[in-house]
Amino acid sequence: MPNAMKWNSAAVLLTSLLALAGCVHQGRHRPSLGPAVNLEPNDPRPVFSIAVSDDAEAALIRQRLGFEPLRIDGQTLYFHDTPGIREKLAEHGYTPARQSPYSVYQRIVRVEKRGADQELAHFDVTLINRESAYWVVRGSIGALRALSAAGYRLSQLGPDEPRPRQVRIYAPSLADVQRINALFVDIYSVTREGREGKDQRGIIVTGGAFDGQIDDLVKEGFRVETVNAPKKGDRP
Amino acid sequence: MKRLAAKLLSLAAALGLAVALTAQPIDFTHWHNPSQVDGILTNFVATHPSLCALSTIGTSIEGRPIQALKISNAPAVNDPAKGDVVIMATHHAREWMSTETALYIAEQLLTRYSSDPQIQADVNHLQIWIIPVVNPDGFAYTQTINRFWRKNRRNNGDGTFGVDLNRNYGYQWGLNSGSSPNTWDDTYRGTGPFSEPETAAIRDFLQARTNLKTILTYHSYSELFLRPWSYTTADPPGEPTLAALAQRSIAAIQAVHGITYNENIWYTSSGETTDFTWGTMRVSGFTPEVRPSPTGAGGFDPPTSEIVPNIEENFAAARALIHDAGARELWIRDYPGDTGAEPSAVWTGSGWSHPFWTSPDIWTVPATLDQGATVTLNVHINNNAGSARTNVRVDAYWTDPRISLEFPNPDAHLIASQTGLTVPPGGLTITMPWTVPVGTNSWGERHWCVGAIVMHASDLPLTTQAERSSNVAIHNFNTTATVTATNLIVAATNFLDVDAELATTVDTALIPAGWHVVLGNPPKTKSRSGLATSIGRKGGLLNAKGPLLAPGETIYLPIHVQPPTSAKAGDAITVSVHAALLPLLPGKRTPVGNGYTYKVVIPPK
Repeated sequence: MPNAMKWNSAAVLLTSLLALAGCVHQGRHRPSLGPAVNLEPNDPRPVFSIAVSDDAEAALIRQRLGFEPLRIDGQTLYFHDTPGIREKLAEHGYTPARQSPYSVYQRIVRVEKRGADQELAHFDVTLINRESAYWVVRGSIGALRALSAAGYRLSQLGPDEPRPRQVRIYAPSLADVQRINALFVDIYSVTREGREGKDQRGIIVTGGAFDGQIDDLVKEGFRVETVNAPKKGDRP
Repeated sequence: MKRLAAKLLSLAAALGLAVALTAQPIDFTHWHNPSQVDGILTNFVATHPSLCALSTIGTSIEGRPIQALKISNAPAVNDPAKGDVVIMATHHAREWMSTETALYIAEQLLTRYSSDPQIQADVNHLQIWIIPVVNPDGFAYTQTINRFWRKNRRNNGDGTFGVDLNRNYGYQWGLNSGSSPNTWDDTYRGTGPFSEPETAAIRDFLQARTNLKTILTYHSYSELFLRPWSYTTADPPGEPTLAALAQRSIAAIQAVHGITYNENIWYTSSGETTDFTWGTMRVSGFTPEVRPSPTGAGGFDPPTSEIVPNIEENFAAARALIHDAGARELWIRDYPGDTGAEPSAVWTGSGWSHPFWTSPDIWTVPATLDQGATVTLNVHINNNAGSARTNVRVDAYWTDPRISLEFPNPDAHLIASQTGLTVPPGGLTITMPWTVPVGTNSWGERHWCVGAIVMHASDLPLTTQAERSSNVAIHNFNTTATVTATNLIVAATNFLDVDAELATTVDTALIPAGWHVVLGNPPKTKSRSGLATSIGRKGGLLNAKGPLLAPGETIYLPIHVQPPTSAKAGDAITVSVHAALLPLLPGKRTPVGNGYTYKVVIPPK
């Protein structure tokens, strides 16, 4: 075996031992959340953005210039800098602006729970689900680095995460169904509460919603009931 | 014994031995997993090779094939004269009931072909495509990992997976009212319209059908029969046509097991499949949300006892829609030589192959349409069914042809709707009074279009476009302005965005002996590109051609009517003037224009 390979093998072994030691140490005091999160940009290329008025304009740019945006976030279209693309956009009247990849790339991750949900408000992240030991949040890699620096443990999502809760949403009228829809609830069915006639009360929307959406529904005045959600691999 | 038979079969398969193929009925008392679905499709082809063929129309994001079963009496041949019907299922991975429905429809068409004359005729007239699993990756994922997974399996790059394929189509894609920009949401619409290989494959497949009639895209659950629009609560163009089809489908479902589907879902969704086909192609599309009911057990995972009644009732509705696509029972001609073929005319690149706006089955008595007069509108319905058709409905509208040539359309005015008609094998002519519109259309022309739609429960139109439906026909009419003068002045405006030559003609066939019509030189003419104003007689027409008009420019054409010396005040003739703009472009120039008809009355001296 060449010497270099011996050294490599030794290095791998050493790393594994250290990692194992770390796991054992963490396992004693803080249960593992899951595999570590990569908080580096997905792509080394510089990221630029342009302002667009809506998704239709973004779609038109994609079609005309034949390029794939990195992300469209409201009225901002992010893209990787490829040869000639900024010049083409400038020809069409756009002013590309350089962006920090740490604010552009996002991750949805587990964050070890520490204190109340309000703690998350200090960081620019969005709560998706709250589990018994961790939150599932969405944030830019910059915001997630800040969380990590503040001592929060982050890890990758588990398989099939995040998973919406199955909910029943009680609404006064059919007109409210569209308000529920506007919060991006995955609506499964709409039924009338009570029987037809005198004891007709309101509407029940059955659907899938994450905890963050359930919070928004409650803020909007809806009564929300979480139904026992099917678990991974559930079979009839 | 069963175990022994199974062992022998697997041994035969392992050894590559040919096993005699028989068309065993599919067992619909349980769900079919992806390999079983593949096996069923393969077996269809093996047992009905003269009636179906299997092809891969695209590949999923994880590399699985998206398969389409073509059912036709010549499955190896692509026949553009035949209409196409496309039936899809499992855009949403967890909606297994939809795949069962599509498989059952395929099985019924194939197995009943030789015994059911209507199915045989429809299969012979059509190319029916069954795509039982649009989202093969998601479908596979629901088998082992998450029974309730909805989206495809795109890695969104942020830790989440999946795009909602039924929010990823290109028509009105990206609205927050009914699709989510958030990757983790189950209604995540993707990074752009048709960003997903599955929807791009369906788009390309649908757009490659030159004679696409209708689509059915099955989902579950809630027992709904949905039609466009999905992205808004507003009515689409042609709403009465779509509503009639949906209501007939609901009645067909109800007739089987008594279940009444609803028409309204109460919320919007953008980037949806049938919005794409109606919005971009005027191909009707329907989204049955099949069993169970919204209050029934199981939701996306109902008891398997629901499968058989569900597929039976939905086949009834699908069969009726397929028949609409294949049937030419009741029809109205689009032009004198029309045989009822769909389409009756095609765009050749420089013009229409046939003038589909000249239906000889729509006419008025009298033929001359004086503004404001009430005339008798006649509509003739042809019957190819071989027997009388009862309970037939005919709707007739008039509209501004510069706004829409679709029937019905939101700007059309209903002339009359006649119901309960019996159309004998020889056809039927119905009449209705029509008060001729006064004034001009939106382009300043006295030019209107009358459209007629014939509907029968076994033969409904699937589009609003006359050239693509034998149930819809149109006839353009010029109305007559009564002028008590012998000198007319016609204004002509170039509405094009390039210079255009104006050619004016007067129909001499309408000019009685002794009368003369003289086209004067326009008072303002330009002579460019060597073109000069000239007046001459060619065939049965007086021609004045040559004046060039800049975009937006208007010129005035004098027309002098010279009555015979014997004529007296009050005598009248009909003068029909047609003006056409020839755009000044290199190559073949397609004229655009329109005509006026005047009743010229000699004024008192």
